[in-house]
Amino acid sequence: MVQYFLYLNETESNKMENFTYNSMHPNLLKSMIFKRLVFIFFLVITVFIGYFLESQDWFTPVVLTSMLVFLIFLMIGLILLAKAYFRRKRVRIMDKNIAYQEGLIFQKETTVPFARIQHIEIDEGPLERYFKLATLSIYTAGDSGRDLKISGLELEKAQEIKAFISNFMKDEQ
Amino acid sequence: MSSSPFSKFSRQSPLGIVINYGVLLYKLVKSFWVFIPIFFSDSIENKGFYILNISGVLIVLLLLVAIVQFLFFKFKIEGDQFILNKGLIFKNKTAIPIERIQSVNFKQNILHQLVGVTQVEIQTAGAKEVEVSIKAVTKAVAKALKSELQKTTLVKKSENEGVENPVFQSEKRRVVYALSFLDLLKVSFSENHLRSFFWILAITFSFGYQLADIVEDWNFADEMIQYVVLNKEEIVSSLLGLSVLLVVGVVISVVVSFLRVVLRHFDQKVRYQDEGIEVSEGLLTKREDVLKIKKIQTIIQVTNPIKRAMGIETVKINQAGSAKMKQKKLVELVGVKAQFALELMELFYKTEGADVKERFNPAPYFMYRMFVRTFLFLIVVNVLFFFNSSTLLEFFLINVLLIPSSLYLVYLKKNKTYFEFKGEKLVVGDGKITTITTGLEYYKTQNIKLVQSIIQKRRGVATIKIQTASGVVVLPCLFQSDALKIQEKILTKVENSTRDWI
Repeated sequence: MVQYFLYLNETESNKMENFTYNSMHPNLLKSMIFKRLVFIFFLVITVFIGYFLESQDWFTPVVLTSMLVFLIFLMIGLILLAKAYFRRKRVRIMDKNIAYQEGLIFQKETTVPFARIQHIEIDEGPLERYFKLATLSIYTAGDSGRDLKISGLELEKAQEIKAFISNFMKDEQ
Repeated sequence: MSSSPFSKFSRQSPLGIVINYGVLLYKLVKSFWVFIPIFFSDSIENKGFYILNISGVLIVLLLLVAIVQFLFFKFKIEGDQFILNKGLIFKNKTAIPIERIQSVNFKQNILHQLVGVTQVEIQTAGAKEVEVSIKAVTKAVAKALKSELQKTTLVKKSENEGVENPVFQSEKRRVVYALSFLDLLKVSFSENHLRSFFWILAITFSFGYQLADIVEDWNFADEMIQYVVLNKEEIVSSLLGLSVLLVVGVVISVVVSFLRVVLRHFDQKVRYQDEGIEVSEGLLTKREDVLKIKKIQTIIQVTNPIKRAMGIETVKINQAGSAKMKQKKLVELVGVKAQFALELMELFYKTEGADVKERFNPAPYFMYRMFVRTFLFLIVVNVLFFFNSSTLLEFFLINVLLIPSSLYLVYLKKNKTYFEFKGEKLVVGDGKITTITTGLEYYKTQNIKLVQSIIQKRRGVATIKIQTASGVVVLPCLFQSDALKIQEKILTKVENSTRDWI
């Protein structure tokens, strides 16, 4: 099971050409879209409440429809963005470090060597649990707080990764 | 062991009550300062009576609390633990294994100095960083406690391993570097006055209008001051007026820099200590901090044309610490002469191999990006002047001054930015008028980030950000291939290093 993530042999562990990345589970995209739909939904409700409460002088049905149309376009835009962001999220685990890529306009790749990891946390929010996903958080002694936050891993995979890294740290001692 | 003065519970110095009182008073004022204007309102009858009574009650109450705090604050050394019990209603018992104590520091603010006591701060390392502070003991007690704690640590250490650094054991507490007052003057003169200057400029410009109103109402003001403030516009547009203003501004900036340097670094002394150095400095707030070599994350050397002429530089040492201890992580040694700087570097970088193995320069995109930012800045400044309905002369002057100087600064920065593999560390060059050189040993890296904006990606350029336990080191706008090379080297070093990063 652990082999799923390892594609490199030790001697060439840090050369770019040999990197293979793994994307996040598609359920993550579903949960991202779901969150955005909920957001739009609340906006729609707010618009309707405004319509019924405000004076009809300026808040005519025309204004209402144009607002709703705008919200529909916004929803489509957010979904497309979510897809783009989702595609950019990738994880790479090698024998001695773990790397995580994300970002659309500012593309970041953070690499954490196992030798510096202090502890690992696995969190599941209610939404994640429904989609059978989990979030893996990795902490080092760097003063930025959490070094890596990887959402959208299947719970099993997250636990595998945690076990793999913990074994590494145990062996090193 | 039983003859140690700390084997039984001891309290702080009774003068600590004064310190406690001061702290409580300060906290009270800080929380309830909103109510102070009430004392000045005329709407309350018998105001004097109320003020007297309330203040009286508060004074007595605070005194009681201060005394109780003093009575119930006890500490002792038991075996290989330092134990501290405090509080009456909310009791707190802390026990720290002496092994985990990283450093014992002293601090005295004005109140401490007036009363004649010292604050002792005990810092520990480990997964949960704890800091214990004893607010008021006499200097003698503080020193005794510190040496007792260090002795215990040393004994433990030589039990576990061999004696590590024979040099330090014999040279305990010898002053290896001291800053005379003349040195202090030199240092303050060589500081970055521009920063203080722009700060003052900003303040006067924003308060300038309020100042005009005030001066018009109050008739006390000297005729000259009145003239200056009320005729601000005319003065600024006349060249003579402008140059006088500039000179005054520069003088004030120098004075501000001088005050800052003197207050912070007065009587700076450096002593070699076990596995580190001890730095003592300060005028109104005196501190004595221990800096362990192992805790050092990055070392930054700062110099500028004035400093170079005087043969001095500033050495800033960043040590590991949690984000909330931001201020204490930085140790700043000023007026350091070249020879002492070399000594320090050899002390800190045990494996100082002076050969430069490889050097990288940023991609041309770096300069391009700076030009774009400078251009935007100039546009903003011009727009501001436009809305201030300045004269054509002012426009012309401002641009003639700003454009060449900003372009020159960009040129300077481009030349000073470089990245080197030197021995066992990464050296990063930076700065415009000041020259900033940062040294980071590879194995101190906690994580490494490669950041590319869309524009950078298209041009094959990337920025590296290296996270340490004391902050981030940034290598901007590298060629992508260089960035990957640097990342690979650092990761390999970290993964194969057997040294403890702390």
